[in-house]
Amino acid sequence: MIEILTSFLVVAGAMLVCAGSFGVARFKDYFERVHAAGLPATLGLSLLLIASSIHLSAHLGELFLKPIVVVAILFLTVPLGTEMLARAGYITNVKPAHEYARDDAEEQRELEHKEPVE
Amino acid sequence: MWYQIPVHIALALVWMIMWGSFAPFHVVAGFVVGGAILYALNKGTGGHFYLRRVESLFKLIALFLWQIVLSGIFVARIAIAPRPGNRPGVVAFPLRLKTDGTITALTHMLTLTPGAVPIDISADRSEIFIHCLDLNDVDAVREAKELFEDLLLEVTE
Repeated sequence: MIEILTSFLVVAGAMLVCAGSFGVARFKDYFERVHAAGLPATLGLSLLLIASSIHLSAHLGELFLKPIVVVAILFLTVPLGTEMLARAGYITNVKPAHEYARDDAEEQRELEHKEPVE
Repeated sequence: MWYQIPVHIALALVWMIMWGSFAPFHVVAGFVVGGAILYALNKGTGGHFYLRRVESLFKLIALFLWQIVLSGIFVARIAIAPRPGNRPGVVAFPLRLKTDGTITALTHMLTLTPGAVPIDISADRSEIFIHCLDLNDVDAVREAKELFEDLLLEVTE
C-alpha cells in the first residue's frame, strides 16, 4: 500500500518537474519562463520530498520529518526568488515576445523607466 | 481582545491544579475546557473570541497549500500543451492592505497563485500589478487575491 502511494507521488513529482523544464524551454519570453521555472518545480519537488519522508518513515519504523522541513523552506524561498526574477525583468524593462493584449502597468513602467533590454 | 490569553492560561492552570496533575492529557484537557468557557462567555457578551484569528490563520495556510497544487498543475498544463493558447499580460488590481508586512505576505502568496507573479506596487499602495500567464484566467487570479486579502485582514487587524 505504502509502495503504491510513494511510487505515485514520485512519478507525479517527476512529471511536474519535467513539465516545468519543458516550460522553460518552450515559453516565448522572459516573464513566461519565470512562471515555468518557479511553480511546477516547487510542487514537483515537494511531492518527491513527501514521498521520501513516507518511504523512510515506513522503513525506519519511526517518523522521519526532515524532508517536510525542506518542503516548508522551499515554500518560503522559491516564491521569493520567482518574484525577484520577475521584478528584475520588469525594472530593467525586458521586452515581451509579443505586445501584451492588456498592460495596466504601462504608466507605472514609465515612472521606473530604465533603458529597454532586448 | 488579547487579554483573553492570560485568562485562558489561568483557566487551564485551575483545571490542572484541580486534577492535581500536569500530565500532557490534563494540560490539553485544561486548555480545551478553558477555550470552551471563553467561547461561551464571548458568545454571551457579543465579544470576539481570540482563537477566531488563529482559525483564520489556519484557513489561510490551507488555502495557500491548495493554491500551490493548483498553480503547479496550471503552469505544467500550459507548458506541455501542443499549442499553448495563453495570452500573457499585466493587470492592475486594487489593493486594500496598507502595511509592509501584509503586502509582503500577499505578494508571496500570489506568486503561488495559478499563473500570477506580482511585479510592482504603485507608490500610493492603491494598486498591485500582476503579470498573468493567461489573461483568459484573470477572474481566478482576482478571486484568489480577494480571498487572501480578506483572510490577511482578518488575521492582522
